[in-house]
Amino acid sequence: MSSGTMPFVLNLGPTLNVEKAGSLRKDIADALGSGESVSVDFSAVEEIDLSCLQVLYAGLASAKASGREMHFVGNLPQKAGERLKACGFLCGAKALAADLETALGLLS
Amino acid sequence: MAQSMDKFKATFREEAFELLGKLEDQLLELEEQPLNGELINAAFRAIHTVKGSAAMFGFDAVSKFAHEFETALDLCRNGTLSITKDFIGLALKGRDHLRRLMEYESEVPEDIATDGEALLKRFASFAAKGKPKEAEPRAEKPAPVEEARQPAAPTRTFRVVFKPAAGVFRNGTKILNLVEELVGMGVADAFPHMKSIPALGEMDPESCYTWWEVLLTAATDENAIRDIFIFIADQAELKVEVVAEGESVEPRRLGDILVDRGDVSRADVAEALNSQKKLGEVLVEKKVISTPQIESALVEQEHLKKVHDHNEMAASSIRVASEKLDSLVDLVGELVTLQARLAQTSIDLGDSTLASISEQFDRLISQLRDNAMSIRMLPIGSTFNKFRRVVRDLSLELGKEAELVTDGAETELDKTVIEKLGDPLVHIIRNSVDHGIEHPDARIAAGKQRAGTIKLVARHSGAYVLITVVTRHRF
Repeated sequence: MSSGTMPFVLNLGPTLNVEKAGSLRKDIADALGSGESVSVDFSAVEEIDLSCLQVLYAGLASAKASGREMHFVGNLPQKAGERLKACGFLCGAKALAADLETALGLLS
Repeated sequence: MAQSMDKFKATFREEAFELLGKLEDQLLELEEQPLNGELINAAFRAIHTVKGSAAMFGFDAVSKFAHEFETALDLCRNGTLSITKDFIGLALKGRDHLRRLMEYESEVPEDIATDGEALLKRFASFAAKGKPKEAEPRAEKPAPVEEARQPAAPTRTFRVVFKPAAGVFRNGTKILNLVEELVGMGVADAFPHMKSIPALGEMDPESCYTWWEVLLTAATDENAIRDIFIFIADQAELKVEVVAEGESVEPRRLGDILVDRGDVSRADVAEALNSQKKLGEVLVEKKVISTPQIESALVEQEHLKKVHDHNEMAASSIRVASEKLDSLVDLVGELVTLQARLAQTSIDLGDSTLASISEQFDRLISQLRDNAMSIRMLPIGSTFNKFRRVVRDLSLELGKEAELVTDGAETELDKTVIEKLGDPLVHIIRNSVDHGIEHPDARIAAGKQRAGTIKLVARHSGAYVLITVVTRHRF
């Protein structure tokens, strides 16, 4: 995790699995607590599992509830993106925050 | 009757050749990604379909061999056997043997039968490695005729509700992989429900809060679906319902879907329909139903429409023997020649009426020629896979490591040109492996990577298609 001046940048590691879900939650909570807008960088992500997806979803919901901005940058690897697409995360499910969908859809 | 049976058999052969062609691709990809469950399933389904259809049309040798092949793939599918390079080598040989067997209904020449027996022994030996010692060696039993003759499961549309338990992550279960495998069984649309995820500060990051509804249209049965989740059966709620039987899926109204799901009553729907607003909006406003429930029902509606449209489209395309297309193109060629003579005659006679008819005729002939030629156009990628196999087999034979990288597979060429390109390209690619790629030791000594790369590129260049083969022996 590294902090820029504006916004707060959260660099995600290559493997986002259940072992990392706890620290990811803390990092997002800290970032949101900093009072700045948060930019979550997916550039280094190679694999992401459901536990971390849930944390990102909760993070977005918290950001929205507190009036903060949380954005996603970077690309997911094609395979990881295709898996998420198969699981319905990128098929236009309106229940997901649009920003999360956009973030997870960063395949182009 | 015999004639119509011959027609069915010819269609079966064509389709089986297609499946075996795809199987070759899947096996080559599996060699690169041995843990790819979707590929293993696809290979298994291809062999399973060939086996079932072969038994139905009386291709007993094909059916028997495919049965043993399927047994080995099934062991890979359930994780009992690992997919190694040796196994892929054997599976590719098995696939080649099946293709040869397809030429014979029952009487198989002795040399081919002997090859088959040797391969069957190797399959049995592989399968034996993956079985518990007390298990009966199934591979040594002859294929049970009744089992082999069972037709593949009919196509159905299932609604699968998958609710993993909260603690499911703790044993390392990769939930997304399971959903992806389910979706890979056929045409599917998944809808994840994430509304139960608590706020960031209140959530347990190691708990699962998400559940799915998946609409799946596939030639499978409930057991095959349940098999995917068998290892977490005690940690998940799984509901499998059939929402449509057969391939002819009809689109349905949202209200009918919601009633069918038990989300609302007919009376609720009837009342909501009296409003000027959309059905979903009214039901949500009246708190009869939640937004995710509506969205999930919309996914189901969209899925049924998609499958319906796909089937309609499939029904509007037909298979035509390539000889008939060749004959059509020849006839069009003769028409073009005749038209040129007509045009010249109209000029020679100076007859304006004839010249006008000739011009109109010329335009129509040009369109007819373009249409006829376009029917024979195929993407060149259909032959690229053959070259991947050539590179793989020759590298092994020569003790080299080489990878074929292709680009422009979608480039279209006339079918006859593609056929004529096959042999010269095989020759060039064989030479590239033989003379353009060094042995791994020599490559490492020269500071290169162990494996060499051969790049095969097809692209349009003006009115031509340019095919390039590059051996990157410097890297």
